Amino acid sequence: MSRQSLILRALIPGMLLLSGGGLSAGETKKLEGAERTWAFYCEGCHAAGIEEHPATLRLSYTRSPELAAIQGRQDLTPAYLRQVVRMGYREMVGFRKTEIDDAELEALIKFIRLPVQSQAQGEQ
Amino acid sequence: MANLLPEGLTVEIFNQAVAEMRTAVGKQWVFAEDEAALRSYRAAYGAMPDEAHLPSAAVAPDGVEQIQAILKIANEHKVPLWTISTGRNFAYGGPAPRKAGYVVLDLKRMNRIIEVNEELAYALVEPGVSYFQLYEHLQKTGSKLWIDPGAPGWGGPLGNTLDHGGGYTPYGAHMLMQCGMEVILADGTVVRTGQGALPNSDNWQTVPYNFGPYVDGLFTQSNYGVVTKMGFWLMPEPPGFMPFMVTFPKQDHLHDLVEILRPFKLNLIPHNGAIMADLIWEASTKATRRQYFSGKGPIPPSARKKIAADHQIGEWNLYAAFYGPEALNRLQWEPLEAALRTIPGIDIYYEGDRKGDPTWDYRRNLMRGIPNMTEFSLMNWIGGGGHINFSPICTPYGAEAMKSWAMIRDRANEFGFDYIGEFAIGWRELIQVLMLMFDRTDASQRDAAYNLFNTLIEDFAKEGYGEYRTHLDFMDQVAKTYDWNNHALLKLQERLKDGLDPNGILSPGKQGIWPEHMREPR
Repeated sequence: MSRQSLILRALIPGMLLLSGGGLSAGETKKLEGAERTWAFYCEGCHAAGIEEHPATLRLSYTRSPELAAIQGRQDLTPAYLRQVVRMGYREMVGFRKTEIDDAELEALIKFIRLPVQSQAQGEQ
Repeated sequence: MANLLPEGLTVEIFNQAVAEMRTAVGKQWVFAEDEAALRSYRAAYGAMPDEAHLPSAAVAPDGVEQIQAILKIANEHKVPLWTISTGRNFAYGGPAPRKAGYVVLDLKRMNRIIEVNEELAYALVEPGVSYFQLYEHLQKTGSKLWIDPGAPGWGGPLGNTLDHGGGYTPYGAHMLMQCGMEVILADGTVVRTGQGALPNSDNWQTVPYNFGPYVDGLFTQSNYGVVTKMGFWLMPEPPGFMPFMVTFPKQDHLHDLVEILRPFKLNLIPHNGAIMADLIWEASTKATRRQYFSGKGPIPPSARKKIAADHQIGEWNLYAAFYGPEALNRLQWEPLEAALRTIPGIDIYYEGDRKGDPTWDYRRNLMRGIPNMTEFSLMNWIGGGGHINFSPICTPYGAEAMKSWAMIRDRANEFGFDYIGEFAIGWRELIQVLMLMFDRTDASQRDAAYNLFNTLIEDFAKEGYGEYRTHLDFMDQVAKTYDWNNHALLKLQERLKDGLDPNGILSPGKQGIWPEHMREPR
């Protein structure tokens, strides 16, 4: 578990508040599960920090430094995320249902789209 | 149902087999109609189009009994299964089957860490356990044991070891650290190897051998059984860790470096699976080709010089480490350092010297047993996703290393590619890995990569060099190069295949080993 992941985990309650709060215990648990999915399959390439993360670095080249980290990006629609997580896209490979099942994928999509202002504040 | 079918199967029989598998494992764990689910098994970075390796279905059991049920169904209907563990080593094909239409036997759901023994420093795991997962487990439990991850942390110890993979700590030779297996044969028989064959033995994960022939190797790079558990040794946390990097300014320094290292390495100095990475491998985790050269063909010397200067790297870059009491580490480093300093122009970096360098960070972490994904940044060098590894074995003589490096470099340049490579330094061998990068969205680059790979296999076989593993697309070609005494080894492997798996249901064609009914005349 990376340092960033541990920071994220500590900040989940704050992130949930920012997302509007009022989540049920079940939904909160799903998001915590999604954080683990993110840690195992996504953050190695997609975490914030352009230098160390291949996909963040790639997106800084092909899009812009502002769009390089995918967390919190609202332009990545659930339908788009569903498609690229399963099928992959260019440098990104797809993920099997044995790795991220459908329910985990939906939770992951919610997690990726959570606003991340609190994360940035936490790291300062 | 699916458009693809396994060779020789009618739609009716295929549908029947799929229905029976659904009964065996639960309908949600058999994928046959869901195109997106099946496409997630593609060979995402290969030189061939996705369609060359798409499965007709995938089945994901969660235990030994479910695998036995699947094997029974496959035997009855002659369904070819392609077994994968984490299925995450994409440079060799990832989760994709050797041929389109096979049914993938996906063991990812079997991801239990069955035992970690802190006192005897070993683990017993299932196929789906990843390096990230095992690392997390050891951190959470406060273990003082280290893992030895492959470069991408989403791979796992069982699959990596079975494919003869390696790592970067002193436990980097994974086959040497493997101890005991549980294997299901094609007829459903469950076998435990080594001391696991003795009921009530406590030594399954401490003593690799059993009474009689040692059989674990038969289930590596093979299609003779389904490995469901594997034991392996973990390294106790040492009192000191001293990683270092040495940059060498000239390409010819590869010769001197290998000559200097050989006698040290025979005495296990440095202690770990050390790496010599070339200039572009080193640069590509933090820069792109276009930033330095937008023309076609190999990067010119002037651009290479600028890359080296900008990033403080060499034409070759050695990463290695010492492990143990700090005083002892320094003592062992002194003679190696003195020998290396006879090469003019080298620079040596230690912990803390390259702050903010992502390449140092990921190499250092791999040598420290911390899994990560940073090496995937190599794909950013040109973009487009394509990469396959050509990995020949080389004798650790300076002249041999120079020769095999030049053979690859010249051919790569001839076919329009950069040489992007590294040498993994073993006890008595070097393994050179060409990271053959290409834009997979460009058909001409895909073709050139495929043709280059086949040419290299032939070039190297002529000189007596073999590949230690290979991508799905080249398994037959490589297997045929191991042809001493009229293919005696492959013929033995085929006899074993016929005896252990008479219906040829398990991973047909894996490592060039085909069941009798799919074998081409030689």
